[in-house]
Amino acid sequence: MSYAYLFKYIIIGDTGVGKSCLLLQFTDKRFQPVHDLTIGVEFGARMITIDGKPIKLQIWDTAGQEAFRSITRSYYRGAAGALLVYDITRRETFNHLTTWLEDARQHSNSNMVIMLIGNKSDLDNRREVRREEGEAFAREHGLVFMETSAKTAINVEDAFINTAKVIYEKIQEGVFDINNEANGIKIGPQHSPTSPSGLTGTGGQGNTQGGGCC
Amino acid sequence: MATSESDDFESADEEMNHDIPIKKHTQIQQWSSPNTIDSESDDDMEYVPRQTCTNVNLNRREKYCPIADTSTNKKRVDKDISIKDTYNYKKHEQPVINVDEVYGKKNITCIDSQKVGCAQANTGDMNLKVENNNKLDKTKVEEPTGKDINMDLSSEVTVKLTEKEQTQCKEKKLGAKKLGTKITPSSNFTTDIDNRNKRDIVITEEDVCNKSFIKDEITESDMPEELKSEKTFKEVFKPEGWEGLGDSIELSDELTEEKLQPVLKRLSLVDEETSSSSVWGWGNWDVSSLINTASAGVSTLTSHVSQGFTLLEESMAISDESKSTTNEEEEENQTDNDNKEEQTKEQSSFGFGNFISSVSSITKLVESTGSKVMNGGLDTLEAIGKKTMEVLQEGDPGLKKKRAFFMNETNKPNLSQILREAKEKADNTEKTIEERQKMRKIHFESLLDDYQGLVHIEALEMLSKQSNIKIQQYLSGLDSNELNSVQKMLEEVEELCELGDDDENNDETYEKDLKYKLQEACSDLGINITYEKLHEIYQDSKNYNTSAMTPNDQEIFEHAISILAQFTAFSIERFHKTAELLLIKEHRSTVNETDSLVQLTNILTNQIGILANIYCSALSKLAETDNSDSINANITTIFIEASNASSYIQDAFKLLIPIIQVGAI
Repeated sequence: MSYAYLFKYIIIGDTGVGKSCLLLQFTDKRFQPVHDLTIGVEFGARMITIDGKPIKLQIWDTAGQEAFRSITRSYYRGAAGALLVYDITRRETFNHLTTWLEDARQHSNSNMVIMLIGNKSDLDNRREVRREEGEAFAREHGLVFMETSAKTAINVEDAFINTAKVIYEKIQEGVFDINNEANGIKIGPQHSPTSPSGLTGTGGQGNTQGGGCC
Repeated sequence: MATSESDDFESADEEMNHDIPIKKHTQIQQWSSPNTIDSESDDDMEYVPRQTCTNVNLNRREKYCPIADTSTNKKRVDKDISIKDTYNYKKHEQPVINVDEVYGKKNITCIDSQKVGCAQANTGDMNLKVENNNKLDKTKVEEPTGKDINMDLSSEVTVKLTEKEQTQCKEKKLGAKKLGTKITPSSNFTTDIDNRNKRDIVITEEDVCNKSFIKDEITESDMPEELKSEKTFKEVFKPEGWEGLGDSIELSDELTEEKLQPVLKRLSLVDEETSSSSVWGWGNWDVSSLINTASAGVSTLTSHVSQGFTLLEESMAISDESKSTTNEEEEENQTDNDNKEEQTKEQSSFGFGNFISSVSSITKLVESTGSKVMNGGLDTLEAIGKKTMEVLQEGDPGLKKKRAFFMNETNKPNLSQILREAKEKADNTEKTIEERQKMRKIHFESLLDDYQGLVHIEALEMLSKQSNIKIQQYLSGLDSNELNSVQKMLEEVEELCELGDDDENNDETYEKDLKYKLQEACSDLGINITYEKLHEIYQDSKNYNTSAMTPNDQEIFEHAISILAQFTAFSIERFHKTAELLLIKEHRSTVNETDSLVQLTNILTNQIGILANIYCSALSKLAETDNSDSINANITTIFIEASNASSYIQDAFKLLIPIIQVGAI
């Protein structure tokens, strides 16, 4: 599909926190309780609309296993957004956030938007990490925070779309150089002035974001 | 200082009201919204929420208005009168009046002290005043009307306090303004005296008025230091004031012109006592006289006077400037002042009858001025209206365009037309989008991207680069001998990776052997990976071609391109996964890896050719009957895309070489 922008996302976090399930829920709107371990990296893509503009999210779902750590690190480069995921029912996944964050900050561009996600919010009875702790961590490190459930799809869309909104705002502010693909943003291939305007004018309102007039 | 001024202004307004009912409304509005009147005061001071007492509001406004000050001095006297008018109508209670007067006096004294420059002393004075007022209030509490007055007084006092504080600050800040403000309050005493004179002055000659005001200023400056200092104020003024108050209360009814004259004399002497007592006398006199005479007449007078004041203010503004510029002028004015005081004396001697008669003649003149003011207001309104029309008509003579814009009802049917056009446009764009999507269906690269082949290549490229960096880092840390041997080894790996065309012989056995060959090739890699999905894709295409032979050549063509893209994408994906798994493998066997990967690449590229052949043969069959040109073109496209797909696979393989090499180190 033609798009105005393409944003590269990476999903990082300990193994088994539900990274691939989040991706599947976002791209296919379904939940798969049993998942193969991700090898290296898997990909997902979905079109969203922000400010009336079609935006393609290309999501790199990395392997959480320690063995792939050296490989996944090389994928951080050129990501515009990152979803840092932990499992609210496993405290150690929360404790590892700092190392994940250091890794991400070290191997990505400084403008990368990072969203902290406490996944498996449907398993509240088994919760080990309080929501406030996640909020505090996010506040401390300048992240956006959300608790999601890949199973019930709660906040999954918002997590991806809100991140895209922040990136989009940064583009508007000129923080991102969209001509430098190292920033994880590509301009659409045939983004001619005729078709997108027609698209946004008619179909844009039906999408997740209200169409802007400009 | 300003408080007194404001009071004056109000009183004047009240007088005005009596004569001219229409004006009354305007005045009331002014009271309620002091902001409009005085912009300066707003800026400088906060508005302390108080009772709706109009007097208080007015005070505030004018306090900081240097120009208004001149007028306000006179007005204050008037105010006393006016208060009397309003409250005394109901009950002829002297204490109330007295209170007002006392209040006014106090204000004056406070102002004086401020002028002198004892800011702190002023605040102290204020407190004293407040106490005094409160006492007064207590005494009067029994009387309902008195209560009202008390309220006003208390509110005023608070206002004054705040104002004083501000004025202190102001004085420090503003040099020029100080002069003006100081001057104005000083005139309060004299203005009281001049109360009648004002009318004359106002009506007759503005210049004279200015002079009189200037005189007032001078008197202030001339004022004895005792008054200025805090001590004198407390000792002399306060007790006197109290005593005077009591006296005034008792004597109010008895007050006559005789009493007035000595007071006037005292004023002219300009003693410390005069400042306080004379004012008292004046206040009393005014009050009593007013009460005795027709209150209505007085009110009319005041109203006229107030009108005159507005004119005066204008003239005063000019006079203030002149004052500030030179002291010499003041001296000259002093002489004038003396003359004026004499005049006032004379007037006082005239008696009330004369006074009123003269006033009546004056009132006519005042009326004329009042009507002028009214007309002026109307003129202003008219000017505003005209200006508005001019602005509206700017670049639009006769308002034709604007009328057309508002009365444009004939365009209504156009709306539906516009909507129709918009719909057509939307349909067109939709069509183009559909066409583009159709085109996408047969666009290999787009399909490859949809199957995530491109992103896998991108990821593979990243790994390849990373491996290259590792190799270079390793080489940089070696000595020359080791470097040579390692480089040789790396070159050998590269040579092994050169792809030959020798596997083409297997074409005939492709159908049965693909799955087996892929498994065989993978086994040597030493990693847990299968290429079975590629076989599945091949089976799909085979099934499509054998079972469902659709007559539509376009569909076959689309399917061909789609299958090619799918196959290519998955091949790349497999290579990418292979690279990842190889990179995390602990024990690498470079030769085996190279061998199996070369095999795989050859199998896959060959398979691409086989797929292309299947579709092309199906199409060529159709080409015999149908429009052969388009089908032949499609066949050509399929072959081109097939070679394109092969090159993608081979490129992916080349990206694998550094990954193999890195394992060899």
